[in-house]
Amino acid sequence: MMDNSSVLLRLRWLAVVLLSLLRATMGSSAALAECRDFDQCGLAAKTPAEIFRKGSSTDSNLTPRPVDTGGLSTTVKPPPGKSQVIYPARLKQLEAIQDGADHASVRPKDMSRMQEWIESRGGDTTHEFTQELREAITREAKH
Amino acid sequence: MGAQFRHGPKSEWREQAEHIINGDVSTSANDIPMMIDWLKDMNWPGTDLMADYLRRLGSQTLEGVRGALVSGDDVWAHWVLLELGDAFDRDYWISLSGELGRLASSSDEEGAHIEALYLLAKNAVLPPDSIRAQLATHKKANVLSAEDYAKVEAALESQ
Repeated sequence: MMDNSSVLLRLRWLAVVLLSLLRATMGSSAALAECRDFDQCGLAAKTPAEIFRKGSSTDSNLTPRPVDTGGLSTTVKPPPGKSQVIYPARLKQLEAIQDGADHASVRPKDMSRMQEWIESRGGDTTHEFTQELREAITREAKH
Repeated sequence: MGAQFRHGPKSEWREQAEHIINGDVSTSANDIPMMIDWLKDMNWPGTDLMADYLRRLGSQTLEGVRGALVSGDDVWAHWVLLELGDAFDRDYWISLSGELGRLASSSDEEGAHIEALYLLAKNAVLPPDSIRAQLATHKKANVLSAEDYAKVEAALESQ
């Protein structure tokens, strides 16, 4: 049986653990708010439930350009005009990472294949990542 | 300080656009094509700000817009026409009637051809019968939605 001092010691230890957890969580929130270059801030990286790609569902619009080295741009809020609504949970080889207040990048989980995807733009065949992204579209929206 | 366009991570692009449109960085007419280049993807941060700014520049954008229309980049041509089309007057689009005519008579999945036809109709650059004939051809091809074609019909009716 534990005596009173032992119980108090355990309760104190538990309180310290709980306080540490609370501080760590608050620290992450602060980092998220302050992190401006999300690519370099692992704490801020998260997958949004739904993303929007303004424009059509053509290969041209679903394949990154040479400047899109960090991924294809999408938004986490519905943009004005026509957009493709994408459900990131359907992505397999790709991932959607929220890397700005209203911006998410769709990129290969294996980033060494990003350049290959970019270079497929304008080609005769649809790249497998472009096709995967198209298959993750749930509907076309107009706002 | 001179303008730099879309450099560094995308998380900084919106702020870069704000610096340009607020005059925090010096720009000249030579920079306008780079501003129009920003409209290649309307999902990029800062594109809405840049489109607003370009609308205010008016006829200064003409050669840059011409460059986008002849680039062969249908996505870019579509965005440029969609974002800037209603901002400029008839004289502006008459200056680009050749480029608009070529786009309108072609076909693309993005809808640049329909935006071009819409501007030709809205600004009465081509006779209505010519517009109707081209519209009928596009509708038959059925590449776009009925709503896209209706935009051209509405422009014809308002002439």
